[in-house]
Amino acid sequence: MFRNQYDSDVTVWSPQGRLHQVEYAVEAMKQGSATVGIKSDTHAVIVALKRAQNELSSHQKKIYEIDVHAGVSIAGLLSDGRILARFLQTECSSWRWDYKQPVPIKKLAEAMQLKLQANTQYYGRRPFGVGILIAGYDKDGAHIIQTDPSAEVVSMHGTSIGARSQSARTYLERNVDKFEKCKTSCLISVFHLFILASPEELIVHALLALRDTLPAEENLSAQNTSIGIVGKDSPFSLLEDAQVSVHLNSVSTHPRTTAQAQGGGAEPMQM
Amino acid sequence: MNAHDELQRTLNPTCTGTSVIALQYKTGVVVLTDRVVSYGKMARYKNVSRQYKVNDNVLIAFGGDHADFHWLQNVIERQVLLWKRFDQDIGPKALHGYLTSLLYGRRCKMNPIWNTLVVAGVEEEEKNNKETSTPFIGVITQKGCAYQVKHIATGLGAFLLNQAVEDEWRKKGEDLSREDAEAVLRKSLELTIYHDCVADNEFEIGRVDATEGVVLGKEEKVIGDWSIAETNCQYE
Amino acid sequence: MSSIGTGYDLAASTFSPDGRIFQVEYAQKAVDNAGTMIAIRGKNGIVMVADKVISSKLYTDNANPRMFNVNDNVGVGVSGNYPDGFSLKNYAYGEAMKWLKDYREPMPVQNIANAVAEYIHIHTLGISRPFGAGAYFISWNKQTGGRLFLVEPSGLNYEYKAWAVGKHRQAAKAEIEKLKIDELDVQQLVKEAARIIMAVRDENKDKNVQIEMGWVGEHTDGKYEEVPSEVVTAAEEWATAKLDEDDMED
Repeated sequence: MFRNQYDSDVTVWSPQGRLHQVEYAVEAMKQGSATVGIKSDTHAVIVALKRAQNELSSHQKKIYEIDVHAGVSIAGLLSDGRILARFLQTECSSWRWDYKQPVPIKKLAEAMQLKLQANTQYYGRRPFGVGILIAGYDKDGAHIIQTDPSAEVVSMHGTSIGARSQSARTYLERNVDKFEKCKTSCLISVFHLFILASPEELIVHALLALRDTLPAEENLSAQNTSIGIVGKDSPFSLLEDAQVSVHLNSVSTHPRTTAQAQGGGAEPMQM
Repeated sequence: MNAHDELQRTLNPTCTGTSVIALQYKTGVVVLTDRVVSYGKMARYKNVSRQYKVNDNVLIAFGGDHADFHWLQNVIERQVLLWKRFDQDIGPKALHGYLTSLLYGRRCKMNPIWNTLVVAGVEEEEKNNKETSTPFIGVITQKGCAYQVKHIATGLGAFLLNQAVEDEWRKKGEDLSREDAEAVLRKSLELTIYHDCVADNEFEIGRVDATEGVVLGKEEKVIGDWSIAETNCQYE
Repeated sequence: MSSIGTGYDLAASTFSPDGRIFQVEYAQKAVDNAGTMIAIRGKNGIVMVADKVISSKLYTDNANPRMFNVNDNVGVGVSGNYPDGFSLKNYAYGEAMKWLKDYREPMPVQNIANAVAEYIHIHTLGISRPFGAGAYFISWNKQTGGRLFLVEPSGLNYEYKAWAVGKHRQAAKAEIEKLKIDELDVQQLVKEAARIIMAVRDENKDKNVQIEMGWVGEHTDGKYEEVPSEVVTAAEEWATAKLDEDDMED
């Protein structure tokens, strides 16, 4: 039944020094619908794709506010994700209780990493089958933190997790290269593209990346898309339905990039 | 302890300090404390500071029990390390909030920290941007009663000095210069030594400035005008 | 005796017939397969260097640091499984806080290393899995000079003059032995350490790698610090030139 002897529990190392159960949990994350996070100097945006079980049910809840200055989006087992979102909400409120101030995002990242790690080491537990993206703004600026079931927690300029998220990451990385080519004279880092972007542009970039995770016959809609944004002097806000439509309109003017990966395609975004 | 597990707490502090006087000026805060440790009414030790530098943005001065504050210093030191781990310097507001809960929690357990604390500092709204820094004075009493002020005198100074300090502060308000603020403190100290029998004439003035950070004071002395004694009854 | 398929290698609570605990050995593999990490004690300080893969340009600068302060004076460098290492770092930090609370002075490096070693050892007894990570602990002060400890997944804790762990540890150790490390000051150590890390890399396999460095010594007044990026860059440039020069001679 098992693929090998060493994959039945998280407390077993394989002879190669790997943890198979943890790697399988990462697969669970990869099956959840995708979510994308990117940031500029002043704002962080998370967008997520929601699935509906069937025509009678509501769509999933993929984005949670965890404090005035932070929110999370989830890919993988959503019930695991909800637990982690609740955990982070508690972290936020306990810091506020202690210091009457918002928690530094780095503290959230550390707390998450330790919680996730414990579930990869102790018998009787399983790793969380979920990855989350934390979008936050604090004294150090905007942050996107990516986590996965193996407890890798890392700070990113932009990223994506979940089903076909590689396409979204490709979009993010590719836009960077284009930008580098036209500005070879100055050593501007790739993500200055995003660093200088307005909040609206940031959302469009995130949605374009998210759209690339969809098969050609599907598209983003007000029903299946969630947007979360937070930034300097603007508290975290979760946009759904009508508010999403506004941004989807600006996205629809950009041709699909997955469809013409060979053709090069038009500029996805003019700056 | 008897069968009903009755417990008597310490009802008096032991080695104590008296008033703390602090005042905001345009770009920072100045804090004055004298340097004597009293044991009851005896001047038990001299040349002991009642000001503690927390980091570049925060200075704490205390009145009350020295031993309790030494314990608090360790608590504060660990808080500073905790914040450093997240690349942050703890600010006066956060520390004031934290210590308020701590002191209130202890008094609810009927085991109070026997100190009046004055948390002085500059609060940075943005990292590495001194322009956004604002002066802060927060007071916490032994019972956990806490408030933010622009000027304060604690201990016996609360009875003797608050009106005098406020009057001086109102003359210039937010534009008060550091020199003027320090002059107010020196005058106030002089007033305490006339009436507070455990106040000393050897003192120090520390400050937290938006650009300079924390600057601990040097020992100073004031003699005062003891011709006042002539007006007292039965002075020979 | 072979380990695989015998059933004696499925739990840390099981000895094999010849007295080995394979689960601990497998955990050590996680360290052996990870990026090379060396630490060298010189004349007036200690330098730690890690080689790490940056798999995407989407990462922020130093998104996954391997070196941290335990307190102002002691630095920790973790190698192997990253989350496990992070958890160890967190434990070390907690112990240092407890020490500060109890004794009102910073915890010395040897005590930190011992405390972490004990914690790691408990995890080799079989209740949970062993840590797939090791940790260097370094410090320097006038009285004791430089001190360098390495704690391994087995719970072993030894003091070293210099050591290497990870993928290319053998080659790195051979390179270190060629140096007269006792005579090198920290500035020289930084350069030589960068050279060693770069020299032992496998050009075909080790791509998108980046050097991370930490140091403590007389020049930092006994405070552990991350080495400033311009110093790291300068060391890398020096090392590249030096390696090219060596190639020419061959």
